[in-house]
Amino acid sequence: MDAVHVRLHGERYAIDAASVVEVDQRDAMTPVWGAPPLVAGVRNLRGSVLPVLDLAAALGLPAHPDAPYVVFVEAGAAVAGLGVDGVTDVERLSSGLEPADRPGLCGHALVGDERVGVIDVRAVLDMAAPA
Amino acid sequence: MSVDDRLLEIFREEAGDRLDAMVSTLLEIEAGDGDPESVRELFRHAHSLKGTAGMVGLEPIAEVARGVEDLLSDARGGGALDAATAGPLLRATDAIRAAMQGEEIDAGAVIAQLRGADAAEPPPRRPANGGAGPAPPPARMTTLRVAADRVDDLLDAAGEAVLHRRRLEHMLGPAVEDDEHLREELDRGGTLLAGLQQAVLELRTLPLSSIVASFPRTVRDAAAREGREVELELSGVDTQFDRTMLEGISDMIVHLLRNAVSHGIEPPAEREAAGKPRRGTVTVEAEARGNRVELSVSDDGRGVAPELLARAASRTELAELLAAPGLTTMDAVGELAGRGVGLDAVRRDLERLGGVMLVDSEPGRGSRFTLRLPATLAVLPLLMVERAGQHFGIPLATLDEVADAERIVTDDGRRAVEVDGDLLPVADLAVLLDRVGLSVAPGGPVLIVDVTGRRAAVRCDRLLGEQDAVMKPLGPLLDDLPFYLGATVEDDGTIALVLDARHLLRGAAAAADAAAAEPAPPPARTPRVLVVDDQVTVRELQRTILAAAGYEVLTACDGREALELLQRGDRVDLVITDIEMPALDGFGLLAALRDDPRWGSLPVVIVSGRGAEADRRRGAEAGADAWMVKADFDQQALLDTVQRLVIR
Repeated sequence: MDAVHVRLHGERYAIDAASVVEVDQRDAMTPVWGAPPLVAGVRNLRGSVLPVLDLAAALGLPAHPDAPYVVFVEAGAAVAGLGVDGVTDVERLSSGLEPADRPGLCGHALVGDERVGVIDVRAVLDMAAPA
Repeated sequence: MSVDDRLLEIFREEAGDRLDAMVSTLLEIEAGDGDPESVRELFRHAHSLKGTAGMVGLEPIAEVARGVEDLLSDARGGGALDAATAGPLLRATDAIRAAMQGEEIDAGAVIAQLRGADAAEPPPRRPANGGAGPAPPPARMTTLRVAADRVDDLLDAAGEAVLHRRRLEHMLGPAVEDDEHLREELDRGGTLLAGLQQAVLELRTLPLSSIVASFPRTVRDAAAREGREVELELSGVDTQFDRTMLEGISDMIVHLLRNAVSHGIEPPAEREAAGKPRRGTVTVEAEARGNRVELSVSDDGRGVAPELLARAASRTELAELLAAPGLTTMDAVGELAGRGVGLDAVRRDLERLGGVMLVDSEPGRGSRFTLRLPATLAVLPLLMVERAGQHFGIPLATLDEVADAERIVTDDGRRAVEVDGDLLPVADLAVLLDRVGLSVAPGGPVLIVDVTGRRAAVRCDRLLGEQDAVMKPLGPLLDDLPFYLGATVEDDGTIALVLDARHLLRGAAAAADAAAAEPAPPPARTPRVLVVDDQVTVRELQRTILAAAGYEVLTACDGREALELLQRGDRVDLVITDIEMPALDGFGLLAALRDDPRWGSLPVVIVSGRGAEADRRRGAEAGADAWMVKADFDQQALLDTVQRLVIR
């Protein structure tokens, strides 16, 4: 599959390009008191109010609620932004998926000869829904 | 308008669309552009027309449609339709259209000419471009059918434009003060945008008359069951309601009507003894008042018991008392649900729409239940407040007053504010939203929140002023968060969350006496039925019948939509489905349901145009719980089947 490649805490991750709606720089966010900790806040994207999630925390990495870029993804009816440090490129994965070793990943794959984690968009969004 | 008239209207619209589609396909066939798919399409339309015309009692149309179907059925086997048969088929569509306009048609003659079509004489020439036929379709009504979400998109865009203008004004700031010309232009833009927004809002509304169709039947059935004589009067049916509210309102009124008949109106003999006319009157009235709409159901029956009246100080309190679960104004609960349970459900649904219930009653003279609703859900007047640097909106409709910090007293070691003789403990807004340890600004005001007479005192740091807000949903991820109704965009572009007063009340009450809280009994559930059919006439017919019998009804136009709805997590207790549908048919839907452990035992009733033994067997093998044939469709049989399966 084609994947959008992002950087987070110095590591490289891939997000299925088909689920990516838009990439934007960080913009003013409103914290949502009472929401699960994964929800960094809500922001305006061309008139819609959308939650932005702390992707780092979802992957079990140190929380990073003020990540400078936001990748907006959709899964079913849900749309949310995922905070990342940077977006590098869009590139086809060069291998199939191997099992993941972390929550929020649907597996690992090769890009060239580098092994990257592939984000499980559905699972990450589900983690952010109130219990 | 009677149920039948309303169904007829829906049928005419749907059938009109089908006929238009058939005519254009037939013209293509006549021009030699027909293919097997166009025959299948014609067949589907004829089949649907036959079924729905039969259900609404238009026999001649059903007969002609059957003739068309027979002819096409033969051609379907052969794969293509001879161009020469297009003429007779077009004449048949003309005949159907004439019958829809109320003309008498000779169905036998139309069918005879169809039967002769195989050996037909060359058809009269028609222009192949789909132009004028001998009987051009009558001019269409000046009504457009537009998907609801298209109107919502338009409303969103208008709301965005209004917000953008405000933002512009905010950015220009002082420049506007000094430049009269600029000020005038900005004001003019504001007026234009307000006009646009208003016009779109009006598109979103529908008159009460669009939902009254099932009311007479509800009253008649309840009266028959209870041995009452009751007349229904409707007034203010032109009053406009937000379309998104209307469906919920319809269910509430049905509830209140049944209550009025069974708990309000006395038996005829009792009425005569009291010097009243044997026949009681139940009235549904609607009236627009500023940015609110009031809807009331009143009866001239026995009224609420004096003991209850004495316990209620206000109209809202009386509503609260009556809605308390388990209470009924009759000693013996009738066949119909006790008033308490039903009213409690009505009250909860109403609150979800931002409304309140009020009750007036006079012993021996009758009762009036009033539903007070915001005129539209799209624009909500808010008071904006600040707490720890965060901005929040709270709907003015749920705010009683704002108390100065000076009014805070210390009661038993806790802070409280006195309102109308009650001491309300003061809760911190931040704490109610799960944020602790944030100090409150000295002199921070106290919001007195009021939902149907229940009040709470909530402290914030300062007030920011009132604002008419365009509400934005928080989206599926955050929808389940109880704290917020949604969000709104402020003039400077930042997002403010809009507080749900009901949560503030719950939170404040829990904080005040966590220990005294008793678990509430689980509310009685209204069974919910999902009706799946691609024909709007059938859906509407079934929806009306089921809603009048007290079911909550959801609808889907094919199997795929039905599955999406279920997968979204909507609770459904029973599914009624057609077989022939686009996208995913009834068998496909059934298979998908039976494959999923969540819905493995969900009762499924098939209501189909097909009745062949082989189809029924296939249905039973696929796990259908019941099979009903549209041609011998019987309301009571449907209701009996649904009831049996829902209870099981």
